[in-house]
Amino acid sequence: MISGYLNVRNVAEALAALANYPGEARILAGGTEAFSQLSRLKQAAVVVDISKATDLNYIDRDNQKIKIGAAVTLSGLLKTTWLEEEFPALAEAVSRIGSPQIRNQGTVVGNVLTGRAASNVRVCVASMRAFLKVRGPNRERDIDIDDLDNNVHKLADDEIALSLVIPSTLSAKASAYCCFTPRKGFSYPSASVSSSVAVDGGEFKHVSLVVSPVLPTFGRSNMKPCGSCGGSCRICRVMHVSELEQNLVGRPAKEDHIEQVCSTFDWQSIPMRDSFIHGTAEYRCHLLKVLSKKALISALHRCEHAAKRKHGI
Amino acid sequence: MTEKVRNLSFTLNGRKVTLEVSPSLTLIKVIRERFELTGTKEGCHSGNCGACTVLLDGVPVYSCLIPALKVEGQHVETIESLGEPGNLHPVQKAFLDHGALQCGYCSPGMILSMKALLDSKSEPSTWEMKEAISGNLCRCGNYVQIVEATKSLLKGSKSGRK
Repeated sequence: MISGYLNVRNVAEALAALANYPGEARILAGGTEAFSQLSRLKQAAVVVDISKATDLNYIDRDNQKIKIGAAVTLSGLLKTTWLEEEFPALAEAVSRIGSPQIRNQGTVVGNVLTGRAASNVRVCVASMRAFLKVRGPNRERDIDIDDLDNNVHKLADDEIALSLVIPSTLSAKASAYCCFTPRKGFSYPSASVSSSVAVDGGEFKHVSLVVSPVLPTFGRSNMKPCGSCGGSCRICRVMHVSELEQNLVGRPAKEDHIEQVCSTFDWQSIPMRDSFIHGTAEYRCHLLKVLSKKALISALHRCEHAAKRKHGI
Repeated sequence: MTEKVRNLSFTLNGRKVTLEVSPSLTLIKVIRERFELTGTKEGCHSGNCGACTVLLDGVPVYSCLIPALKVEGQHVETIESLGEPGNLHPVQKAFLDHGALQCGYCSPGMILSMKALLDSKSEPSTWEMKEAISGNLCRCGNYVQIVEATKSLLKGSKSGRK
């Protein structure tokens, strides 16, 4: 249950609230999921609302990185003039989250933290060495996005996520995101895919293909079908399709080559979870095949387009 | 453990209001039960149907998901802020003229979503209109009429906008 609600104006006030209510205080930015989750808890929770924190509402971009403050809404990120050009996969991923109403309230960092493996943003920035900048009472540290679910590295109760930092890479420009989602505004994707490529001398120099949500290896055979999580539980993960990535690197950077590799890959070997709502594992693996082909070809086209622009063609 | 009631001050339909609110209340409960503005409808209570859509600082949000205390210092507009009997808002009139409602339950949310779009963009495309109401469900299936009603308000249309 929610026993208190504090609107803080900055990070210092948020940290003070976390210190004043140890074990009870919970940070909330958008609250599209967090508020109803906290309302259902049996133990008391004091909401610390950071949506109006002036030092958390910023989007910075330079040659090295993109930095998105914890209070930036999904709509706020989409309003930037450069996102589609600099990181098209992220623009596509964010625009597919929920509905306009959800995107006007929900935040980018909130999507990463609450959505876990089902988070469109997390799938996009996996393998980009993205991290959360985090501050506690006496320390500031970085948590790699890929370590967020690790019990050793996860966000502590007295810490607040300040921003999502995405190092700028050339391959971000040549990226694409695809997903298949049941219509519901609040539904996580049945399957989502993010890809990025780099081409040199007509061959794939780097290929990244990340899919979600997948089961971890351990305990997979005993896993019951998912009732509703869509990948936002503590079990599911994002995963690189390493074998397919390696099959493409060093090979000709051509559309028909991507088609051929995707057609022969064993998609049913990817450990998608059976779900009552989001589809059987078999169906979701099939979705991955279709979406991966689409995302890789789209990333390749963007790579070619970026190369032409660079050479003034 | 009891809930700690707190003062909430915000602007509702152009009027500054202050009231005591429990921290677990959502905005829709405050709008409907404390201010008795029942134009905003309760549907799914889970951010899917859009019947509860209001404008928060001019942008559409689901009032069933917004904590009431979140809107401290902000501007909330409900359907009651648009027009009045005998002097409808252009979007409301266009909906009526084009048969864009049957049971009317989705209409407050639909109208506010379209109003927000037209306030932000003077000549939205058909795709942008459909995107604007992608978070609003119409059980009666009036989506085509809703988009046609909105199109009629564009400058190039016969009726134009007031």
